[in-house]
Amino acid sequence: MQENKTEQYNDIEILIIEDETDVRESYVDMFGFMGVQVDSASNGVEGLQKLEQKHFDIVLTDLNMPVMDGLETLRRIKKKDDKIEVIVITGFATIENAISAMKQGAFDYITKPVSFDHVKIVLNKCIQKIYAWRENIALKNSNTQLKELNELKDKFITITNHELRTPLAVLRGYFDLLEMEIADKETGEYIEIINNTINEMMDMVESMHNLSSFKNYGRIQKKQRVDLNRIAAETAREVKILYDQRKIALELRLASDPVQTVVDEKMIHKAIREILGNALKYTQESGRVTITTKNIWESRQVFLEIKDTGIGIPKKKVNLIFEPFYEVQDVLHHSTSKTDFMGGGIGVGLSLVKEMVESNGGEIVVESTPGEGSNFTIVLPLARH
Amino acid sequence: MTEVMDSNLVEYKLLLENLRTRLNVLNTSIFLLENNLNQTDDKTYKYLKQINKELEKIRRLIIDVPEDLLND
Repeated sequence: MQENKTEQYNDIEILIIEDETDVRESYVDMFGFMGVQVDSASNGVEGLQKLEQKHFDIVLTDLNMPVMDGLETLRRIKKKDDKIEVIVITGFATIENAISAMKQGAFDYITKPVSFDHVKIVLNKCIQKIYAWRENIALKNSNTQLKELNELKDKFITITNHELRTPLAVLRGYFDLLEMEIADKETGEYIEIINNTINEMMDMVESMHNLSSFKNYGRIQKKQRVDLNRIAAETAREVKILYDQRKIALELRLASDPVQTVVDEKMIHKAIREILGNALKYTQESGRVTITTKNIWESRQVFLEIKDTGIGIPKKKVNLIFEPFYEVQDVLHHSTSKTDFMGGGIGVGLSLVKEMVESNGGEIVVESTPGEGSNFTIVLPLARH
Repeated sequence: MTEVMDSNLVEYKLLLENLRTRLNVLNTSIFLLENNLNQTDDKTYKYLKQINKELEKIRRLIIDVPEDLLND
């Protein structure tokens, strides 16, 4: 018999049912070496009584016993709880009984005289089956919990969206009234920005109801011929206040000719807005962000480039930035603000930018030098004249 | 428990992120507008007060409440 405990299965409980005392005790010693919790009974009736008091994962039972034989014990155990694994022990001459036991749900059989190695192999196989079953149950439970949590969140999302509409609508109303009182040259620019921003927020809340999947951001709504110069200028105007707050220069270097492409304008506008938001986040005070547009006649493409003088991206991470949920900065820099320097975020923006640009037939390219800044270029097909 | 975000939650977080950025723009723009206005006018004062009140409601809905939910 081996001196060392070879495995530790102390979360497995075994019941040995064997009428011969010496044999029963040798099994107890044997399984003790394997690290399992062992109890024993001298016959089937006693074994069943023990099973009433306590749960056992595995029952090892001799087939040939007085009072109640092993087959009857097996039947009753399986009737009580068919998840209890039963291993029968049989003499070689009564192998048909072992086969009969297998047909009635026994896990396996061991023939006498019992070999420790054989018992170990059979028991290990049985324990692995039990562990796999437990893991399956745990996964099912956590899946159920996850489903319940998601249902709760879905419910909350629906309620929040509904509740957002009301203050937005009221805000719209009061702002319209205010506008009637005050419109003049000095305040005109602020009014335009406030108007556009309220409209965007209302659109976003409305569109949330139609969102059914992540891929919706790549779903083209309506393609039309647009001038990237116009979209770039509009987007820059929208975010200028945030740039001014952070004392970052926002410069436009637009091509002298129209830069025309056929795209979903809202989507490209969102993509540019997201990259500008990113540039704002990763550029320090007194930095500069430049938006450039170009026609590349030779390759029949148009470029829109957003270059910043920010922190840059480490070389090894450049390919990762378009992965969902990736953020360049470490968690120590997290803040709740999305526009403060190194402010936090959930990291889905650039992955969506990539999806939006690609679904419009374009691609996005990034070049970056840590400490010097990054350059994001959206490349789109040139519209035909 | 595996960390799997269902698509609704991803979109919701993105929506919040975008809404927060725009709320920031709104707050700043309204602040700058207020500084340029004659607030002794009763109507102007009243409208601005209501606007700020609604902005605060929106702020709570898109910042305070989701933080509790999403930080479970």
